[in-house]
Amino acid sequence: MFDDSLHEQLADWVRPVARLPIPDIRVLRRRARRRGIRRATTATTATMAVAAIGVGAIVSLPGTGRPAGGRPVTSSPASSSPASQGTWNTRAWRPAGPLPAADAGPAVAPYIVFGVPGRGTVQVRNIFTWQTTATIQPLRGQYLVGVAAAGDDRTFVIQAEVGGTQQDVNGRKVGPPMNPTGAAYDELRLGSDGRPISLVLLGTVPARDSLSGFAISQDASMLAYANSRNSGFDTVSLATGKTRGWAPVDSGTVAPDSLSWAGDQALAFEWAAGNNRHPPGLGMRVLDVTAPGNLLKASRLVVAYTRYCAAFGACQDFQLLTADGSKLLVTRVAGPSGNYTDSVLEYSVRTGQRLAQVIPTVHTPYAGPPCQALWSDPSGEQVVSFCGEHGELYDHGHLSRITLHPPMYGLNFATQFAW
Amino acid sequence: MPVQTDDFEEFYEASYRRVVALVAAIVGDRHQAEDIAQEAFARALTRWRQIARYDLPEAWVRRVALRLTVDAARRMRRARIMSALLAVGQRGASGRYDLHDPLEATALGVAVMRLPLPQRQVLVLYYLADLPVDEIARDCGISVGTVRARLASARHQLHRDLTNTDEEVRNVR
Repeated sequence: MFDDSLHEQLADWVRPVARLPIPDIRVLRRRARRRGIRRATTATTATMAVAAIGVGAIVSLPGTGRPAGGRPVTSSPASSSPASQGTWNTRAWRPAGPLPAADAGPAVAPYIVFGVPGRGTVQVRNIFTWQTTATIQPLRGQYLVGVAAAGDDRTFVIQAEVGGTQQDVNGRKVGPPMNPTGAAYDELRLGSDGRPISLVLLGTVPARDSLSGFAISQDASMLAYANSRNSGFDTVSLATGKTRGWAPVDSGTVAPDSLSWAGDQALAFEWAAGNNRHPPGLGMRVLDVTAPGNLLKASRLVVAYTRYCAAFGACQDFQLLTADGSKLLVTRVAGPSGNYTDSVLEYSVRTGQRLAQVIPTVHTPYAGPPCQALWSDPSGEQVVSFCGEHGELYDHGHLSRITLHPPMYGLNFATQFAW
Repeated sequence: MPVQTDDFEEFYEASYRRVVALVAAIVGDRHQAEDIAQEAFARALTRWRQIARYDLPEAWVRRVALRLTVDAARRMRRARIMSALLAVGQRGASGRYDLHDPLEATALGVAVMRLPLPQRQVLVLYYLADLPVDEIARDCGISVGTVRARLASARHQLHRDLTNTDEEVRNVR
């Protein structure tokens, strides 16, 4: 009843506005003209400023600008695709610890890191006991927004917004910054007790290029981040600073929250409809980031879109690639609207065959909250999934409930939560 | 249904009211909603040759308007606006907030304005604009999963707020 009446109540509420006379189109034309003048003025000013800075930089640089030792490296695109011009602190990078054993249970990885909505900090908690082990404050000038995990349950990469200005409410700076100028990526190391050992800056990317989904490889050597400028993504070696851009082709698009690594070469992503409603090879794909060619030529379709999305408008892009790269965990949503069924399915990356269903099917009357795989052992024989009420452990074909305490409300599990 | 036309004026007249109503439900203020809607259409006008070729030009305008609501909310110190609206809500529907022109402070309106902006956007697009979840995800630049999570949170919060309001009314009586 609540759902049924909400549409009518909202429509009633805004009806006075919907009945207002439509402004004369000349108002729009004047506004458009003023906007054009403002843009032209801004562009001229910016061009002059960039030229002045460029002249100043060339005059002040002592040598060729070739990076040495631990000095920040400006990323150098390794292919013709446009990659963002990030700055990477390669000296700060260290590899993550070893992966757990292929059949290790979830108890070996008790720590989750997640963003606290509206605070700009992240918390470390034990997912089985909900005990907080640390609240991580951002580095100076940062506002923490996203988290991704490497394979050892002790190494995490945190995404932060930098620059811009925060709202001032009664003298307190609150909320995320307006017009951030960049995205920073920090490495967080935890000790065996879940307490932080270090938080170091790995690099920064201009905000126009990256303030969206990202993923870190199992050994923490490769970072992939969605490129907001071209709706594709970039991959960067944190050890060398070498960047490669993976721009979309055929007017398709990459779902920004869908990135997931296996090892440091295989990257899973969802290839989705962009301006082209029917780009070729739609669905979950796995890319070899060392392969030549563009995004589609270097990647392979594993699960076609129609196999996991049978409910128009209610499917999701979150997925998990197992650390050994053999299996892909995908949420399947089927309709019709008002009677959705959610399930998490495991597919073979090699053959695309469906291998298992790792949670019992969940029926939901409305679109949300979604089911998704949150953790798997390196081989995908043990998977922990969550549907909003309790955890479900899939263990070599057997299903059982498991007590979990993930954060519940207002959190994007794809980017603000890492296990 | 959204229109598909090559003629801007016709497009503008057919879709302006839908867009302004949508924005009004998000920002809760008539003048601000008109300003945002006009700005979004003005931007469409400057790029009309390109936008006219899109399947759904109105979706482009809607997306621009949504981004402008975020900028506007930040500029106008959302917290102050919300507290002003809540004050209006306490005074009754006849009260007006003089600097702006808020919509009537119904129980639903006040509850909607108490939601965080991202949840409000998703809720309004889903319930008022009747958009499917994947379209909302594209409009807001977030994943479908996030849309669903925000919808669930918004419904939960709204339901709780409206139930509490009913309780308060009963207690007063």
